[in-house]
Amino acid sequence: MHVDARMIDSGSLIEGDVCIVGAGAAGISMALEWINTPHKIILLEGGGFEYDPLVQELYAGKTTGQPYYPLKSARLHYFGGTTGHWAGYCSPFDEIDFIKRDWVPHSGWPITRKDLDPFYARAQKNPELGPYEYDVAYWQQHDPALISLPLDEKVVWNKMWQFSPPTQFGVKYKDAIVKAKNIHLYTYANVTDIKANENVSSIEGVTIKNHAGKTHRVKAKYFVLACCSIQNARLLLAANSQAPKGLGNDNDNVGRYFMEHLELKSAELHLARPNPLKLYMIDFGVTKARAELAITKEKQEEHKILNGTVSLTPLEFTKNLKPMIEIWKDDDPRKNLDSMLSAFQKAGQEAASISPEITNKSFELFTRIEQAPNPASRVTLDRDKDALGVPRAMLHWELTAFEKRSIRTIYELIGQQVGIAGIGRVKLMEFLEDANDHSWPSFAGAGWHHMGTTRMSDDPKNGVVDANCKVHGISNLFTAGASNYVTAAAPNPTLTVIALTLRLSDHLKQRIKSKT
Amino acid sequence: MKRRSFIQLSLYSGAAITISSFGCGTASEVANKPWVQPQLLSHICDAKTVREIGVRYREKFNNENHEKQLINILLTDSTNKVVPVTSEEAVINSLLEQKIQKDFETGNTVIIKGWILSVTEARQCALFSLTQN
Repeated sequence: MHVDARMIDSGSLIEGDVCIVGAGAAGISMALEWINTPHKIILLEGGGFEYDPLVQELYAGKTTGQPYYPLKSARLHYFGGTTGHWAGYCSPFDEIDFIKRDWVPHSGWPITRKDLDPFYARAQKNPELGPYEYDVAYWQQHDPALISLPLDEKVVWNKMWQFSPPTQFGVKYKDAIVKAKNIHLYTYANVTDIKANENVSSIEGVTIKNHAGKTHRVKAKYFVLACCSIQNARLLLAANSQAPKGLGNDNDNVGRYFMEHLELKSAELHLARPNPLKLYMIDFGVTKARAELAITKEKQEEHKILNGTVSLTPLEFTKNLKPMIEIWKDDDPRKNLDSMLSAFQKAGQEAASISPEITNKSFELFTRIEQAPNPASRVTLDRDKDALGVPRAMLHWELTAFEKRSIRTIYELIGQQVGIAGIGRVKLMEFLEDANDHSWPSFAGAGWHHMGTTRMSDDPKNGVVDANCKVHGISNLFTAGASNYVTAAAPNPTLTVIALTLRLSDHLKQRIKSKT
Repeated sequence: MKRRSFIQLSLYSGAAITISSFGCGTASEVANKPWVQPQLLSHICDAKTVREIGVRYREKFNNENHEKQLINILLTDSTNKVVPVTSEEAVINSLLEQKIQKDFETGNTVIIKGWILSVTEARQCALFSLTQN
């Protein structure tokens, strides 16, 4: 059922078994898991079913450090969340992403890829992906034209991506959620405060507000914050009336280790003979899966580098395309999306007149790489408050020389392999030429992927939540989504967000079952 | 093979090798030889780019700034013997191909103007820049 929180009497008390805060990929995936169960689920969404500038404005905030997109337009604040304009890229994290790597400070999850595998398999469904198959051989069996570059697989491997249509969760799952008798969706229900019991060991309720001036309270047995990394941290930090440093923040970890995927053009691949490289290409809306080049676990360890992947796109297309950090500048995400689509369209039109002989000879090599976990890269609270009285988020995004050295090494390895294969040559962009230059070019961008502000650790000193995504020291408060990530890996976060959410959902069901 | 007299030349790496001064040839002798231009690179770059790479290579490794010296290094095989510059084109091409392959396999690469190149082909570019002004 659906209730518009603007339309009910102010001061209403809403009660349920589980309260999910946020209705994006994580919140909706969680709610779907509980349909037709005997439990009453309260699903709180700050916005409505459509974009609302007033609600979107609640996401505005300052950024410092590495230039970043405006916070106001970096995520979408309505039912469905940022799946309202995502590109649909999905791939699981690698085994190496979960382990403790001596050369990556603060790495090491309390769970493994094997722990998450069954949930990855289940997670394929919500974004309407194909089978849980990320082995290049599987896709090559179905399409022999998907030919791998002849590179040594002990150095460079083909990491597969699958593509969601892309599924807009707010559209696709609205009916299922609204029609479910035990799912109580409240729109225009922005959580502004979280109240704990006297000794701050469990949560008693949350306060919700909206621009209509209505204030309500929600009580539940369990609370799940599924508002994305910046907002999860913001809510915990802002809930400081009982815990001065914020909830779950006894060890000053909330908001820290904010991570993004560093995304930027980095090099070019020039082939001696034209090759369409179909395995590596994407035709939006058509391509089901494609590969990106990745460096093997052994070589990452040998060279002590971060995990990243390299996508290939014809240079004739990308040479006319502005960097995303220059396109996505407006506070209004709709204008940014229009600018981006029109830039893609224009670049596509200009490239269309070029012969395949030329288009298939030179490719842009575009990096997508994890950011090393960095406690100085963080979300804090501003003194300035939003219209509902919540301190605004401030983001300090900080990169290090480690990321740049890793990128350079990745291309040196690929360049070497391309040379051995005798198929062409790799040319680095100017910013990578000098190994001693640690600066970043103006076009260095990111993937709009916010991760890591409530990181997972068995040790409360090193993380905010435990392996079950429960906030340390608080018995009934959980976080869902990419805020739990310990490391960012290379893939876009959505598939892992869903997988972790399904795992959390199973855990909560088990927990409730064991208490009845 | 003709009588050889040997001179010592220092490579950019600091290693010293022995090379023939007779088999090496001069700029005018090699100017029109196709092997002066790196084969694969010539499929993806124009002559101007190859020349620019060569100039930058010589700036970076200014102890490899002479035609004879570059020719000798390029034509020295894995046993330190120098293939005469008058050899058949196929012989020289085969030697250079092998050297380039080995360079990539052993990591004997260099980054010049962003290009990740085998040291051998970078030297070809350097020679090209000296002979094709």
